[in-house]
Amino acid sequence: MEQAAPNQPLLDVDALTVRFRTRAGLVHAVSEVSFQLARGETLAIVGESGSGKSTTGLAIMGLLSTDRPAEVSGAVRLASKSGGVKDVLCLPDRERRRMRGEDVAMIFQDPMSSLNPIYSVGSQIVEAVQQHRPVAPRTAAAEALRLLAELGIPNPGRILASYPHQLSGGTRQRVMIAIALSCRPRILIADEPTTALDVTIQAQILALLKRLQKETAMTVVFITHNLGVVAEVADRMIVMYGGRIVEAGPVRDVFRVPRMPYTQSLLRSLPRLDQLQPAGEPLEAIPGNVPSAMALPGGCSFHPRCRHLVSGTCDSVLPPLEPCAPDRLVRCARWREIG
Amino acid sequence: MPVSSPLLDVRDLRKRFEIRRGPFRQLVGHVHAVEDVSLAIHREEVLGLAGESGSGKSTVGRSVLRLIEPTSGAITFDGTDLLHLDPAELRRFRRRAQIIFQDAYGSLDPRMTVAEAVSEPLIVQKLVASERLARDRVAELLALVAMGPEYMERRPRDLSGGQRQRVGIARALSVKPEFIVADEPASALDVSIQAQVINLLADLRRRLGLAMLFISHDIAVMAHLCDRIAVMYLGRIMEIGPSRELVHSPQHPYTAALLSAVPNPNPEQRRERQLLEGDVPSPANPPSGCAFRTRCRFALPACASTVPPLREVAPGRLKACLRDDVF
Repeated sequence: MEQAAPNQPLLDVDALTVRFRTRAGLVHAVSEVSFQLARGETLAIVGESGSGKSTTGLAIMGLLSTDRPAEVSGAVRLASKSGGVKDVLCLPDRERRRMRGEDVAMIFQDPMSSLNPIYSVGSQIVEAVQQHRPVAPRTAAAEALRLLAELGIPNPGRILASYPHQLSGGTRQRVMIAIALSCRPRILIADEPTTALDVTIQAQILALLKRLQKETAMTVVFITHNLGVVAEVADRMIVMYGGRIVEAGPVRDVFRVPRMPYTQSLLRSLPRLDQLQPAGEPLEAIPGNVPSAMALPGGCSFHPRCRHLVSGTCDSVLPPLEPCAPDRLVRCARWREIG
Repeated sequence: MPVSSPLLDVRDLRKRFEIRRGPFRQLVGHVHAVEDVSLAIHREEVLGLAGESGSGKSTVGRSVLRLIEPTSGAITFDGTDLLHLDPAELRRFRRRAQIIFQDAYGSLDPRMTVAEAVSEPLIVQKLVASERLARDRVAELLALVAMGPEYMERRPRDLSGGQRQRVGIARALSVKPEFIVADEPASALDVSIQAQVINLLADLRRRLGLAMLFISHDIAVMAHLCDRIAVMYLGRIMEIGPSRELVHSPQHPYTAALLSAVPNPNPEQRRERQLLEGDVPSPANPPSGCAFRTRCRFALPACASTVPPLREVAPGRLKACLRDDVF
């Protein structure tokens, strides 16, 4: 085990690559993804279906093992609470289980399928607390009550006695957040946590996550397809397409001057309430389809849909992910000319 | 309201679903899905129906197509009483009014080819003389939704989400309807594909002169596509108005809260939003008086006693709120 140096990032993802062998073929889910997480920051990983954003989250969580159908390479170095840096991908099962919850916790889009329908919410939070801390059931129950109250859930006692199906979607997601936070992890990975919720409930959950982040200086990785959510919550963003990072940088900078044609078009294709299109004018749509991770186009994966395509370059050579401004990265052969 | 009579006119529509429990399926209550909804859609007009889950927007959409039977109220289509059609008349009505669903994968038969799916309504309605003519018409319809004839023999599993939705649209258009209910047609699609489908609907509407009831939870998409928007909450219409006016200056506290909750894709303008507290009450036991009052920061004691009527507060703008002093 290496010793943690000062200024060491909390998490260092280094050339993470994930392939799935399926009967239909090899799925290139994630290809050479590298990024670092600083303490207390909120990073958004943005992408559409098949972009590799969720697989990246699962890999950080140590939920992809190296000897299963998933072939994982690269490193996910985590500065753990107990001191020292560990590669999540190489941890023995036992240590990996301890890391989950204590160092990194995760919440998902659909809390209904993450909660067990036949146990009360209270017993599931108590179980999570006792997994990591040798405390008496009564202490764990008090902790569960305190967690729910801290999340601003009205009537926490009644919620603890309820079963998942008796709760609304928003309350179920709050319960998942309570379970995730029960061991005070330093990193929370939130995979589309508000996608299944109504917009007024989404606003509540986003406000809650922002408040918790501020109060506990927790580091948050927000995986989402919703650029509005990114603009609302994140400090830094990574845009993924076809399993690769295609653009990265501070949220304000990327929104102000997107460099990768994909990011540019995506931002322009959004109908927005703050700047309505002139009546009758079409939205700027991106032509074509989102590529399958089983049949990614050669060269730049975005080239078949890109209006800046140059044949012979974009369709044959994969452009490198290169710096284009302080703290900014872009993967495009033509970013200098297209501005 | 313009002088011409509307294409679709809905008056005091109500739909209550029975809740039955126990071994003898005893009636224990009702879900108040739609309560006293009145709205009109004119020829070539697109009306947006906005609301969160449980607001009753899809129930309205299915009721106006007679896919479910309303509990009470009146619906007329081009002057004909829709609720008292005989089977032959109902079949003729289906030529004039069609639906597009959110989940094109679930609404297409996985065993049918694209050509079979798109031509099925033509054959059911006996609108084509021969199979060869049906194929010509299918090619035409696919061209209308920007798909080449090479897709005719493919099956839904071979298509992307956006392509499946295009097939769903072509199928709905096959009988040359005047009116379409589009129920969240872009919501299940990837962001980069959503704009394609929204543009297609806007284009078809212009070229074919379609009237449309566009049901969605995404008020930004509606502001772009619809002429007017009606906002529903717990089965009732809270506000109706021309799209742009409604999103720029909402008149009802719920509309204002809904708009404020939409995440703004502009990181320069992060703002403290006006959060709505709590969850939507159960439609099996809605609050007395105004349905929104339990979450409304402007609620007065009077809001609990009467259901506020939907009344005109400016030309073309209607709201169901007692208070005129808050916006």
